[in-house]
Amino acid sequence: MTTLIDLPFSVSPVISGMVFVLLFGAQGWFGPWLSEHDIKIVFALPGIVLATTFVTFPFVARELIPLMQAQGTEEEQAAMTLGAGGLRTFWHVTMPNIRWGLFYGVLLCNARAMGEFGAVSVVSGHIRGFTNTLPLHVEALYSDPGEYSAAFAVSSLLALLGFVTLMLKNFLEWRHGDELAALRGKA
Amino acid sequence: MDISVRQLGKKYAAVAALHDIDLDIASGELIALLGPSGSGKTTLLRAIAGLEPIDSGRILFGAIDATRLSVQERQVGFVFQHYALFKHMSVLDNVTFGLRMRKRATRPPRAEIRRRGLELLTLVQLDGIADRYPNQLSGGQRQRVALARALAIEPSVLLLDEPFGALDAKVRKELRVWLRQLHDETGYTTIFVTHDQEEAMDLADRVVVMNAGEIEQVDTPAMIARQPKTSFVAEFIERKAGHADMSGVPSRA
Repeated sequence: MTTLIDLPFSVSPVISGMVFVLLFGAQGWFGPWLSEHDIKIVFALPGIVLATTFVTFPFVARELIPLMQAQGTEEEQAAMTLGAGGLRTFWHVTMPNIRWGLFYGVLLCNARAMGEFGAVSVVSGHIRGFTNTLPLHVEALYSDPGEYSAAFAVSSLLALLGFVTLMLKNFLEWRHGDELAALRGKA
Repeated sequence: MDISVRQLGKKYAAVAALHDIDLDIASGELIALLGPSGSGKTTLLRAIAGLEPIDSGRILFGAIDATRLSVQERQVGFVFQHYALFKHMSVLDNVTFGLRMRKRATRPPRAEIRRRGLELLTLVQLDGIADRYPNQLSGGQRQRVALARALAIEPSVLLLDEPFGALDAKVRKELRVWLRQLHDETGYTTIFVTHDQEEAMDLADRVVVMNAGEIEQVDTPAMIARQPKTSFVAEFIERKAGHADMSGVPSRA
């Protein structure tokens, strides 16, 4: 299970991108079915989302699994004896207990997603204004000799966003360090 | 409500944790499940609550067969050894949780929920701390909040898993006396698990002595002390409280 969760870490993002094309592309396994139903995944937004989710998935999982294991299930059991069903237990008890860990994971995901190049590069198709992401845009601009300065401008923007994310991460660690320490110990 | 357990069986991997348990508890009784670690007493308590699936047998709440009922449907008040309070909720929100989780049709209005919560806090002698959070309370206070939370749903039966296990000796004694008084005031059928024979003998109307997944004897404390049925009971009761190999070991059979 853990091996499976860590798979996106060990596989090159370009390869995961290729796999998505293989699955959902026009010649892919699900390609004919998808085109029949007029659903576009590869070279469209769903493809980018899918590829990014796959690549960043371990960040959230790795944050949350140790945290939830450390917290155990007693509070959930208490909620059940008090009459709360599964959904309400999750919403009122589990969720508040993991919220900072979850947010932290999402933040790491976000950092990774912003910089993700390989997988997205393969599935997006680089359609400017539609399926472009910042890193892809930097690459596109940089390969055009006339647009060097624009490439650096976009890069700066990306770096700035990265910096903001880092600040948020540090703030979280400072504010909710105890809670996050629980997962640091076991990770 | 009276509680009956019939031929209850439970296995962990091929090992019997509970072996054909039969037990009848009258309405309003205060019962202690006493035994060493691994005797099955916590498993039996959790089975009655519906927190532990069973392999065979039946559990009756009064005339109702509760064997197939879910934890939520059984409406038991359960108090965990380590309190299991909701950390992110105030004391009052903890106590009123059960009322707030009711379906809209049976849920009292907000003001009424608040009033009942404060009333329960008075009952457990914790006035004035309604807005505090669990981590600001002492162990004894937390345990009383947990008890108030369990009482809020007007439980069919009150189940306490090593309720004083995590407290120091002095607080433990105080709470013991207090729990007896509370039981006599409220009259809920109450079952508590303990490995401390002094606690069981002091507090309970009847003591259920368990060993290796079976019941050795069910009797009043006086009868158990005078006429232990088996050598195990005799030996276990002889032991002084706080014996090195018994104290503080959380039991989970």
